[in-house]
Amino acid sequence: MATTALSRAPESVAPALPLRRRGIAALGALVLAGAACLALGEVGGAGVLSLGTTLFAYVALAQAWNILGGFSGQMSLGVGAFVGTSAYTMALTMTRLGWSWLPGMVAGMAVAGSLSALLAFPLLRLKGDYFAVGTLAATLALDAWFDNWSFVNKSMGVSVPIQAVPGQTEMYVIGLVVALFAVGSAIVMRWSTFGVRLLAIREDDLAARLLGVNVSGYRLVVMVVSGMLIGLAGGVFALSLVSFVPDGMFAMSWTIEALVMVVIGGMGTVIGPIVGAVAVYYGITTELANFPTLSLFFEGGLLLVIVRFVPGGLWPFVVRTARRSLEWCGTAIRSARATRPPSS
Amino acid sequence: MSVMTVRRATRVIFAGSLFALLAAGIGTITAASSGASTRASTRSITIGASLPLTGPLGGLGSDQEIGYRAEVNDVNRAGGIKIGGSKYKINLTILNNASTATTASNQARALVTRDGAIALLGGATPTISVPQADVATLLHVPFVTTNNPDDAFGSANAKGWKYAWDVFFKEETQAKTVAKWANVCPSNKKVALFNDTEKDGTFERPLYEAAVKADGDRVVGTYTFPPPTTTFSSFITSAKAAGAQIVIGQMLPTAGIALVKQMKSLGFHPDVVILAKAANAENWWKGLGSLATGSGMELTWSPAAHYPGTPQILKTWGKKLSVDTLASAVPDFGAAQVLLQAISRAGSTSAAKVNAAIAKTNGMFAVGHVKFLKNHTAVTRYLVGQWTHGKVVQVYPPVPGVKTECPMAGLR
Repeated sequence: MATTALSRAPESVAPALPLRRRGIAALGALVLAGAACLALGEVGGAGVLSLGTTLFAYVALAQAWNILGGFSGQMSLGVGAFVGTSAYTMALTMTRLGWSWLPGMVAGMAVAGSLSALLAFPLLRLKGDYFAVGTLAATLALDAWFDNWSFVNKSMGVSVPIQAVPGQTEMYVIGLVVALFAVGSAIVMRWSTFGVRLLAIREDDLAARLLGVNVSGYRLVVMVVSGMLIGLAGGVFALSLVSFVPDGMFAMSWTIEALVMVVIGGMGTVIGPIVGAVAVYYGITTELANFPTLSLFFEGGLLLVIVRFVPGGLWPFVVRTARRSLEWCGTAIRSARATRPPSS
Repeated sequence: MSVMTVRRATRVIFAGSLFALLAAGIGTITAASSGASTRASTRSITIGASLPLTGPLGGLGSDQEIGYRAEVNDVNRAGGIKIGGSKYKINLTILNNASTATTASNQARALVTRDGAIALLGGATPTISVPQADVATLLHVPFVTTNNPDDAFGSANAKGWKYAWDVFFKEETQAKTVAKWANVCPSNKKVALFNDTEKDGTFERPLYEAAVKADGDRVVGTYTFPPPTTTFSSFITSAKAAGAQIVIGQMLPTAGIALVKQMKSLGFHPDVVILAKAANAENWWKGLGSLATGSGMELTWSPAAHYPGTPQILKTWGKKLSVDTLASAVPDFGAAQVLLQAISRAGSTSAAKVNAAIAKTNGMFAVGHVKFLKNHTAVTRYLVGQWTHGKVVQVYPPVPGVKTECPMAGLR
């Protein structure tokens, strides 16, 4: 499959350390970051807890999109399909079956994963732009179906039972666990032979197939994993929003948010979507909450600047700049030593 | 220095400048807005409202802002709200949810957790208000809203609302009043119903059917559609073929404007048209122009209703705002009155005490008498207005000296 410049993160292709060691190191760093976030939640007030919960859900959403779009090169415009399906599954199991939020969320994730597997059969026959359009069409079809389906209350929407929604601290922890799970999945995928094969498929699927990689199988797995992770994030959003309608949960805005976060942060990297989620949700959306039009303007402006000048995204740019600076410093020190007159 | 190096340096400088500009823009706006809230925070309380200031409900949301701000400004001009012997200025924080339910829910949460709002005022229509009411219930923060028909709002929480309250009319009254007004004009008594599938539209459709049948009319077409729909040609053709001369409906303003324009272009000229929610704001006239002449509009306030404070409202706002804007803004003014008076009566900003004070509300406000029922709704009157030359006049219940103009001139 032909890939665009956006989908390539040059430094992510050739790791300097062996895969397993890099993966373990990254997972260790993730555990430390999780502990730090947990501590922040302990000392932070209601504002930090609320902000953190949504931010973590966006990190999971962006990471899930990145696994599909950044790692395997399949540009999906169907994030809303999985957010919506999972949120509705959660709300319906909680209201109709009396389940608590945890089995409801697991059910949401499972249904989103199943939907993903179901959609994979027709969609994986499509390539490039056609795949993207196919995912968009599936989302629009689901939105229209839910808008007219009596079982899900049509366009009047559904609600999660308020008394079953966890408190703010618990929601923060749930959001954090979901984000850690999504980032952990990305690390495991990225720094494993599975991930290397995925990158090979992204760069040239024909070459990968000739080398014996089961291209369809890998794409199916990655699509299901991405769908399940989006489903998990959708569960957190459902608990935060409490009541929702099809037009909100199957909206195109979920895809746009995830895509913008990943492109700004760095597509095909593990850290990039986290950086992007923080930059977009915390740096723009929250800071400009009183000015929604300006918020969109700045989001679009930042996206244009990134695409034009730093097409790999912010995180690869930071890493590259830091590496070059270190190299420049090393060269400068070496040349200074070389030109220094020998001491007596 | 090579040409390539110069080009690269120029690119880096340009990209850096753009980044800096974006960051500076965000920083300046954030600093300006936080500065404003810091200034207001000295001996003040914060009330939050997430309103649909843009999007399909933009017209209603803008009128809501006028109503809420007017009451808060009145109280602040009088020295602030008296709570437990001290006076506090009210800092009203209004956010724009762009008519999106998910944003409305997120903003309601942010207003409480980030901005420290002790109570919330709601947005228009159940689609926006119910998610906000859920958040208020979850966070145990009093929430007073309007522009939500009572039964649609009251039944939205199966377990019953605890912290959410709504001041508006009942759907049944609405249906009966509309059916009676429709029969003021001579027609063949054939009715076409157009309702979207939002909570209030779904609630209203069977009530409209029952009400028009009770008045001896015949429903010749019932058309339902999801809220974003703006293409009605097949419905209009069907209603025209069935010979409908009365069109009654409930839908978003964007849908209503599209419907009337398409009726005109398809040569469908009913004698009576009233599209609840769609025709409720100034945007109706802006969107349709003279095409709107003769169409009906639902009102919860009108100068002819002679509610308390009407002369004061007309004196203060009458020169600046049209009657249709006032008709839409005064209910919000009334809802804000209910909340602020309850806070004052509670003598505390404690959510439980304010909530208990709201429950005990029983008195006259700008929208008439307010007393909450068990389902946390307070019933206001339902009046029908008619658009004539860009202005709205109350036509039902009848007002001395005012006659309903029949047939609807805009479509002729």
